[in-house]
Amino acid sequence: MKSRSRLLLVLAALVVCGCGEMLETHFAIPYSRSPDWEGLLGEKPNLQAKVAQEVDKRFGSDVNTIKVPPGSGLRDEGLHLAARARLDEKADGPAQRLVYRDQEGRLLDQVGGHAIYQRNCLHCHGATGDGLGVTAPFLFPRPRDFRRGIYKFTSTGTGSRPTRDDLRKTIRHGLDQTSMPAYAALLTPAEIEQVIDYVQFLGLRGEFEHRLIQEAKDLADEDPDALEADIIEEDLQFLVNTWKEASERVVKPDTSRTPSSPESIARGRELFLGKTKEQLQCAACHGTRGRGDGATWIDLETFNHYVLGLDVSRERFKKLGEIAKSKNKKWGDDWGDPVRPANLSKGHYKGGERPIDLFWRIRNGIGQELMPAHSNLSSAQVWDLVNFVLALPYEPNLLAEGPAQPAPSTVAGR
Amino acid sequence: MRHWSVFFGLVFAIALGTFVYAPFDNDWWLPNYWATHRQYEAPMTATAAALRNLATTQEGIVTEAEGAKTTQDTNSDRLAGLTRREREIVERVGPHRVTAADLASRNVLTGRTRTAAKASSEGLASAERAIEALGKEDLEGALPHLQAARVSLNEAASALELGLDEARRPSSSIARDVDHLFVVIFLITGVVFVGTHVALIYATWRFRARPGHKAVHSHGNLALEVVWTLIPAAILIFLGLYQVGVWARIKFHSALPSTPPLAKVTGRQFQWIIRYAGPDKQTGTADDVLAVNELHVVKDEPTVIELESQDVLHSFFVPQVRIKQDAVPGLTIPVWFDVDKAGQYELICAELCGWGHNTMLAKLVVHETRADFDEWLRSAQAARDQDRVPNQVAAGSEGATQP
Repeated sequence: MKSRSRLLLVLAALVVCGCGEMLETHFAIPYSRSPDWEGLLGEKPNLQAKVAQEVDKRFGSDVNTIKVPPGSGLRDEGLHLAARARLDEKADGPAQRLVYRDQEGRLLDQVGGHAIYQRNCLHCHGATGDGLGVTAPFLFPRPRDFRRGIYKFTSTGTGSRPTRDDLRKTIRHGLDQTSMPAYAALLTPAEIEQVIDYVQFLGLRGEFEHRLIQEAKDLADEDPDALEADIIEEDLQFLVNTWKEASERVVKPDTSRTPSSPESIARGRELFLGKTKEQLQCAACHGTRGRGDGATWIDLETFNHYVLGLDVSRERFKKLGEIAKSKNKKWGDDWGDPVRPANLSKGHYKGGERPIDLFWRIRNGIGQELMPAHSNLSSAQVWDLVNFVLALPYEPNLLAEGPAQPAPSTVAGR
Repeated sequence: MRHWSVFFGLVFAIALGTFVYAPFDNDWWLPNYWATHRQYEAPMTATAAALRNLATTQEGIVTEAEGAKTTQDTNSDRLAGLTRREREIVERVGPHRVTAADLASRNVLTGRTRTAAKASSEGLASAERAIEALGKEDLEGALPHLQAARVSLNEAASALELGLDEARRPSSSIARDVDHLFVVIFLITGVVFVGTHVALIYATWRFRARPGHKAVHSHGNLALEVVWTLIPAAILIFLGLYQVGVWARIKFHSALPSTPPLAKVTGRQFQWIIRYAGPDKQTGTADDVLAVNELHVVKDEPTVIELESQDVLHSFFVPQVRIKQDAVPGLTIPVWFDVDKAGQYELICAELCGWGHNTMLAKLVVHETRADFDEWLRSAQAARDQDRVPNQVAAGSEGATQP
C-alpha cells in the first residue's frame, strides 16, 4: 500500500508541474563549482566560499539572478540570457517578462539563452559549460569546455576568443565528424543569437572562476580577504577585454586565394611534405599519405582500445596518456581529452570546408598546442596548402608512395 | 461484471467516434501541405476571401459604369461616385497584394501566390488607369480598364483559392498512391472492426446470464470457422496483390527515373549531410556543394537521391511526401520522389539512432522552377567557395532578427 501511495504522489506531482511549455525552465540549475575544480581548493573552504561568492556576485547564482558585470561587452548587457530580467534594478517585485518580434513580425516571449542551452546543449557541455554533461563520457571527440578560454575553430589568432560569427557558424552548421549537431533547422535565428550570448556568458564566467581559483591557490585559508578586490577586478577586466577584442583579431589573408591549379597544388604538396625551407611538420601528425596516421601519434589500435572501449571513466584517458608518454607519442589535446589528427583524404573538415576556414585552420592553428599556428607562412603559401588539402580527397595519388603523380585538371577546377 | 455488452458497447462507441472523426482532421489523419505551413493558412484564406469580395465590388462598379454608358447618363456626379468607389478598391487591394507577394517570397505554394501577386498588381494598375480616365470624364475609355481590373482581381482570388484547395490535398504522386492504399485499408479494417464489434455486442447481450437459462457447451462450428478464416485470408491476398504496383513504382530499382542523382544524402549522428552534384552532375567529385540539413529540389521533377549512412541505421522520412527509406551503413540506396507543391517540408529521421535522434531534423525546400533551384545552388556554391573574411554585415544578416 505504501508504494502505491508513493506512486500516486509522484503522479500528482507530475500533474501539478505539468509537462507543457517545454522551453520554460521550471527549476533553476545553480552554477555549482565544477567537480573537476573542487580539488584545487579542496582544503581551503574559506577561499572556496570566497571565490564562489565573488563569482556569484557578478554573474548571479542561478537563472533567477543571472546577470553580467556592467561593461561586459555582452549583447545588450546580457538581456537575452533568461526569459525574465529586472530592467530597473531598484524596482521590487518579480522580474519582467521579455518579448521580441520575429521575422514574421509576431510578438514572441523570449525564451532566453539559459533555457535554450539547458534543453539543447547542457547534456554534453554541462550546466557551467565545463564539458562534463551526462552524455559527455560517451562522446568522441569530447565536448568543449568553455571555461578555459581555448576554442578550436576560430577566425581569430592563437590565444584569442572566438567572434560571434565563429560561434554562430558552429551552432548553425555543427562540427562535421563530431557530435556537435547543426542547429540551423532546429532553432530560429533569434534563438541562436540567444545561445551565442549564453555561451559567451559561460565562457566569461568560467574563465573568471578559473582565474580566481588560480589566484587563491597559493593564499592561506585563514584570511580569504587576501584575495583582494582590485586583483579580482583586474582579472575580470582582462577577461572582458579579451572577449571584446575578438572581433578585431580576425585574421584576414593578405592576398586573395590563389585559384586552384596543378602548380599551386604541387607547391602545397611540397609544403605539406616539409620539402621547403620552412620545413613544415604536417606529415608528422597527418601522415605521409594525409590519413591522420602520423608517426608522432600513438597507434590507432591502442588509441581505439582506450577511447572507444566499453569503459567510460576518465581513468582510461590517464592510462592512454601514460602509455603514450612511455612511447613518447602524442594522444590528446589542450584539455587532456583524446583526439586524432584529421584524416585529410576524406574531405571532411571539422572547422568548415570553405577555403577561408581551411586558411584559418592552417594560419591560426587549432587550440593552443594541438595544431600549431603557421604565421611564418605567407598568405600565398597558405592558399597553396589549402588548394592541396582540398584536392587531396579526390586525388589520393598526390601522396602515393613513389614519384608524385601530376594532378589532373579536373581536381584543379575547384 | 454482469453487463459486458454495456462495456463493449462503450468501447465500441469511442472507437467508432474516432474512426468517424479521423477523416475530418487533416493533420491527425493524413498530414497535408498545411502540416508544415500552418502559419500561412490563415493569411492566405483571409486574402483570398478579401480579394474575392473586392472582385464582387468591382463587378458592381462595372455594372454601374456599363449602365451609365447605355443610358448616356454621364454627369460629373455619377462619374465622381464611380471614381470614389474605384479609389476605395485601390486602397483595399494594396495590402492584399503585399501579402500575396510576401507569401510568394516565402516559397508558399509559389506558383499560385506568384500568380495572385501578379494579378492583383495588374488589377491595381488597371484600376488606376480607370481612375485617370474617369478624371478626364472619359467613361468610354475607363470601361475596359474597369473590366480588366475585375478580371485581374478574380484571377488573383481564384489563384489563392486554388492554392488553398491544393494545399489540402496530397503533395506528391507517391502521396496520392499511398493515401489511396491507406484509405482502402482503412475502409476494409473499418468494416471488419464495426462488424466484429456488432457481433460481439449482440452475442454478449443475447447470451447474457439469465435465470432459468443453463449454459451450453459448444464444440464449435466448422462452417463458421472456415468462413472467418477464409475472409481474412482473401482480404490479405487482395491487399497483397492490390498494393504491389504502388510498391514497385516507389521502391523497385527498375522504376527509378533516368535522371542523374541530384544529391547524396548521408545520415550521421545527428544530422543529414547533403552533397549536391555540382555542374558535372555527379556526386563524389571536387565540384560538389555541401549542405547540412537542407535538401533542395525542384517542383514536379522526379528527384533521385543516393542515401547513405555513416554510422548507424537512419531513416529518410518526409511525411508530406510519404517517402520513407532506411539508410543502411555500407549501402548506397537510390531513392526517388517528386513533390508537386513548392514550399518547405520537414525531413526527419524515422529510425531511433541515438540520444540526439530528435534533433535530426532537416528541411526539404521545394523550388517552383529549375531556375529558382539553380539560383539557390549558385548561392550555396558561392558560400562554399568563400575564400575571404565574410563581410560583417552579410554575416550578421544570417542571424537576422535581433530580439
